[in-house]
Amino acid sequence: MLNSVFLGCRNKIQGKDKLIKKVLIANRSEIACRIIKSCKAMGIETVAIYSDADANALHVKSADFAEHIGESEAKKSYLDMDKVIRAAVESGCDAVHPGYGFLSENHEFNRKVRQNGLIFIGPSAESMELMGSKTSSRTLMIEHGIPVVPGMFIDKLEESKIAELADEIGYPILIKAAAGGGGKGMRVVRASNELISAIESARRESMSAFGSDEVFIEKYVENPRHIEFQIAADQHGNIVHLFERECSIQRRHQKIIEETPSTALTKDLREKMGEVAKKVCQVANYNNLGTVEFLFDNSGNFYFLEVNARIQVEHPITEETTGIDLVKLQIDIANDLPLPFEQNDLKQTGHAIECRIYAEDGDNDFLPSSGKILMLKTPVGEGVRYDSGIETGSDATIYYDPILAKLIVHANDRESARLKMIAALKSNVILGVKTSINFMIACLESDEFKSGDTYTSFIALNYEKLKNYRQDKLLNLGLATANQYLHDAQASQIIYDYSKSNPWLEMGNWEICSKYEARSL
Amino acid sequence: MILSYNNQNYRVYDDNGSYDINKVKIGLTLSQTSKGSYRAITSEKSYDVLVANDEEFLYLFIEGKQFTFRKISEDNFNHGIDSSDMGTGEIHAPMPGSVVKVLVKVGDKVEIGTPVLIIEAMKMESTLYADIEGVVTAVNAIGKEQVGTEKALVVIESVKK
Repeated sequence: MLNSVFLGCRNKIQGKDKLIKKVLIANRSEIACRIIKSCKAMGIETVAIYSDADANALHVKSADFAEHIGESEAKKSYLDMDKVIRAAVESGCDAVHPGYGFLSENHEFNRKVRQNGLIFIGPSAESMELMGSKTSSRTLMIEHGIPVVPGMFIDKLEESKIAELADEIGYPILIKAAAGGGGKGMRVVRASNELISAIESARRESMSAFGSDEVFIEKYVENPRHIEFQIAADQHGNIVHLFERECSIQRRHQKIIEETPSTALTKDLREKMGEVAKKVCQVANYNNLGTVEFLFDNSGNFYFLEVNARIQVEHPITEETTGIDLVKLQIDIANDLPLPFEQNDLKQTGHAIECRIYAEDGDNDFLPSSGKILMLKTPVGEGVRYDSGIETGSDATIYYDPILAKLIVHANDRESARLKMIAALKSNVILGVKTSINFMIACLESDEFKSGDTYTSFIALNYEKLKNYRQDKLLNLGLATANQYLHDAQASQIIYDYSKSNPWLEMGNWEICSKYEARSL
Repeated sequence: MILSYNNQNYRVYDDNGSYDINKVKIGLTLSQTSKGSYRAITSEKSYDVLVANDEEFLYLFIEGKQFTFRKISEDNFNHGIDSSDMGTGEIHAPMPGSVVKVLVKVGDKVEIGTPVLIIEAMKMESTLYADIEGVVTAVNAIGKEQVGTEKALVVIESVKK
């Protein structure tokens, strides 16, 4: 079903021998596995990289080749540009796919990859640099009449000046890391006496996550929705949008449930925002897959937030509703192919929802959980997709982002997708580490989600109501079963002990020999 | 058998397939379908219950809801109940991570909820708070130190009024 649109395109490039043949995937976990899948389908060889902690990880087993690049700490492995690039060069790759997170939006890495004669699967280093700094991209967008949230850059300003600027914008204020993403280095400040300590904390978090402590402040739009548009631009000036994704269900400013289409958009608004999103990429000379994020307020106003210059975690819901393999599209664009479709060729079918399965305790403020996955059962069925970086026996380590997998469903309409997702979550057995699965079931079964009242404040406002969902109802059942399990385990232990008294094990050292040799002993 | 969950202890009896928990009978039929997999039938509906264990815990999954139980011995039973809701004054990291900032020093007076330490794990910062009112008597952590969960990073001695 996927990619039939690309078939025509293949013919145009026959005779071109400079196509990507071997890709180094500069990432780990589920996204590395996802990229490997598309590469395999395209006949491209893959090289995985891994740190000490990931020696037995699924992405290492899935790739054709794997290179060890350092210690567990990300700074000494996945974030070490020189090691990553050396691995690509030494393993004979002709391209690097950065995935998301880690070095994916680091323009310096992008440039270095190219300087080493490799293709970087992503936008040019120049447009990435422009988009990567939220401050310079804001300035550019304001120049071109794109609506943005009021705010400003505060690096190198004195505390008193920052406080003055914050007063000017008006509380609540949002502090954001200039190099950030995924909610890291982000703080909401509701009163001036919290401002300085929140900035300090945001700087520290940004420094450790992105290696930069630049932050800026902006007006905090209360109760908005997060709506983003998927953009695809080639290196020949063609650009399309592949519709929106609504990602309003967030904890600590990080998305956990995403869906498309958004219940908040009319056909007209969708077209209007899509055109603005395309313009955002055009003015930045953007030339690969990217995502334009907007804040969408109660009155239907929308503000440009930022461009994510990479594949997004939530890209599968766009794939499911458009039938397009976005990783393949990235590679095709990097191969200098023109987009195989125009805006009018694209349409969305049905409704898709994604739930991110994180190793974190949904009942305890999403505290990260580490441990060994003792049992994993993945949901299956029509329209059910599981993009995973784990298997039974995998470790959820403390070193990296706690994402384990993504569960994606596709159905004819939103309600069918919602019900399908609930059933799929209930069958996604994970034992050994805590996950947010039950919490997401609570979200999906809430009246607010059912009726499409999804705002970025959804979890903060409903957390107390949603946590410990069905705990009292199921606790006794759990206790009785645990009791039974221990009884059964003890019973099988007896059988096990019996097998230990196997005479072969008790007879001591022995060897097989013929009766003639035995006689000679 | 005694199982502990969220600092609460539960005494579970099984009399030939008839279960009682803290002396309350519960109606339930359990059958094992494969190793670690059970079919539980209540008066309301049936559930699949998946179970696994390591040296320390029992892990259960019931239609998305996870439980982590610890099996405890009879000796610890009473002690466990008494201390269930009280802070100990020993502040531990909830999971292995690195210390970002120590917010108190020895001799500081703290109340329940006073922030004492910021740690970072999986690239997220979390603040640890005092769980009793008292005076800080020991700080066993310095910035950037990698810490596990076993060490008491800050010790608070309660002040009797």
